Amino acid sequence: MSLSYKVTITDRLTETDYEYDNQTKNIQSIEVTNSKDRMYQTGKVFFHNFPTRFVVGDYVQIDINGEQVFYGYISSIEITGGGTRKALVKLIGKTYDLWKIKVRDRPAFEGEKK
Amino acid sequence: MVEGNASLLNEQWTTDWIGYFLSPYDEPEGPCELDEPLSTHPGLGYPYVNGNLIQEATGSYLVGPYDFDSLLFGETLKRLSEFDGYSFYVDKDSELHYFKPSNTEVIEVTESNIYDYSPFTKSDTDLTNYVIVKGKGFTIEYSSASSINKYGRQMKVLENPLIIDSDDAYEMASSYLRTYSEPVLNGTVTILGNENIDLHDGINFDLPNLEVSGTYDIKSYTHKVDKEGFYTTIDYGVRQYDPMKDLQNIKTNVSQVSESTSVASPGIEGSVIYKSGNGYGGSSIFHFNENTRKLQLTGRLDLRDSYQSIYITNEAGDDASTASYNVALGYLALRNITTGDNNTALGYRAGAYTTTGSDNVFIGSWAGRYETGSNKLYIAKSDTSYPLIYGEFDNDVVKLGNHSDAWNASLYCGNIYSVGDFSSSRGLYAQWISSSTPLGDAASPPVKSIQFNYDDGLSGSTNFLWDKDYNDLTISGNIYHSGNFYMRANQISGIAIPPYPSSIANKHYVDYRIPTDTQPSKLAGAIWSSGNTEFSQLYYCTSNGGSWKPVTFG
Repeated sequence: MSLSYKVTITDRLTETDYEYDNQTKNIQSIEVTNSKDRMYQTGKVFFHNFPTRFVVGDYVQIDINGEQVFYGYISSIEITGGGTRKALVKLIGKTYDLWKIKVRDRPAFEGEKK
Repeated sequence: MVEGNASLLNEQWTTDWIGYFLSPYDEPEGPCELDEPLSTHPGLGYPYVNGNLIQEATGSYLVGPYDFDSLLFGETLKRLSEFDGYSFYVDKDSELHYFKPSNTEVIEVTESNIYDYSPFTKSDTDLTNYVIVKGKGFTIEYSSASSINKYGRQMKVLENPLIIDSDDAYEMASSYLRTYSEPVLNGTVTILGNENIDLHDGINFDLPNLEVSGTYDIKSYTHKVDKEGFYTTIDYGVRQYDPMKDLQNIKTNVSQVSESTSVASPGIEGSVIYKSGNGYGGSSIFHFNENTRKLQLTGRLDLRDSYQSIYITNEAGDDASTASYNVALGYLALRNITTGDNNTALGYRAGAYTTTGSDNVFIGSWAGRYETGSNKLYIAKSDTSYPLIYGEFDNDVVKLGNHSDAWNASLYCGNIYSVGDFSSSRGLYAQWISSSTPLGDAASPPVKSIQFNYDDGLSGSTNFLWDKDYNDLTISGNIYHSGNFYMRANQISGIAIPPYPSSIANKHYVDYRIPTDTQPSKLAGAIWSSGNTEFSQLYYCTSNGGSWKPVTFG
């Protein structure tokens, strides 16, 4: 089976999706990591030519062979080359939201099963 | 990924407030006051302990309830998920999914799909072969002798006052040792890309050329796509030990399980537990632990053999076919029983040779091992022919043996009662046996009598015999008596005995009474003795109302 991948970036301002896949040939490499130490995903995508419309915080979804393997945000953008605007785009999973707030003292854990 | 898996959707939990509160541009602003309670599973109220928090301090590893104060919410959920085996993630709609992984898979790694690997090296970093568990009010120690012999003693102390049951402490300790008594394998392997891998999956190695096999946990994974293709790198290792997680599994409430279902506790490999109540308040009704090889049962054991027999332990009653109502407890007890019924055998090899015999009672290791008959009683500690107590239920015989060569065990008791009227076949009989001839086998004891003999009862002399038929008492030997001695033959009632002479008051005397028609000349014969008879003074009284008169010998 041939490899297929797709990186979908959502421009948060316009809520427009832009897709980059093995047909567009704009992506040099993709890395997606998850670990039990953190329980949220991180990722790296190297672009040959990273569009200027995207900023930190735009949503990113990565699919490999039709399976979603990542969903989160752009956490940093490193431009590594001029001209074609090569860039290392670092990603962090949506689950990282949970690491942005603190629980109150002695929280009550309860809920209903939906 | 778990999303889209129908079996997991039913387990999903949702909080809507996350999306409301958070955006990528939000900076942490300190503790948030939540408008709604956090949604999580109802693993409520239990103090949480994370095995990763075991900290080394003065040679000890301390484990205790975790304090949630000031934790980030994600960290809280992470610890909770480690505690209860759940997993979680936030989806694109900012909904929190807290779910029990039910589609856990094991990724097979063979030489055909392996791309790269770190050296497969076992490390003793986590090696522990001696565990001390300190609970509330007690301490237990647990060790792996074989591991200590191989690697030397490496000790850890697990301390938790929440553990109030020493059995639970042993469970924790043994669980810990099962993981860490030998060096563990940790490392990294890169395989051809697998987009379906998740953190709760396992990885199984089948690499015979590298001498590596076994299943491990996935600690982290990295998918990488580049010009070389798609491959996945996996960090693997043994399961992180979490003592409270294991304790929670021990306390699992399975009261809702139907009667016919056995439940394997997921955290205690090989354990089967059935409990009532819930959580820490539950009590174990049935608990089998493969590691300790102990079965605990609170309640009655209802065994149902087709022929209403009970055979307990290996090879007890192994040949039983239609044998009914037998009870055998002990290795090889009633081993060869086939059709014999109503036998009771308690002890190692008790009644082992009995096949068709019935109504036997064997008590003690080896008791009645060679007995093949019926209606026998053996109480012994060996397979001797002279058990301490032998009986024949059908012959009403009881014998006391000395274990080695005779029926001559001592009997210490209070009263001895011979139940019967002495009119036909019963008597009270004791004899000293000069040979090993069993009592009753060679001689038929005299009946209707009380007899004590000094020989085998055939040719020896009788020492004491009272015979009912003749109303005779025969004693061979002297009679020694330190008090007053009365002999009264055919005494006539109504005779008023005059007061004894003052000269014999407070002295020992013999009172011998004969009928009034007895000739005085017979008095000497009446007090005949084969030994020496000495009297300081003889008195006689002849009639009712008479007086005592001294006897003068001319």
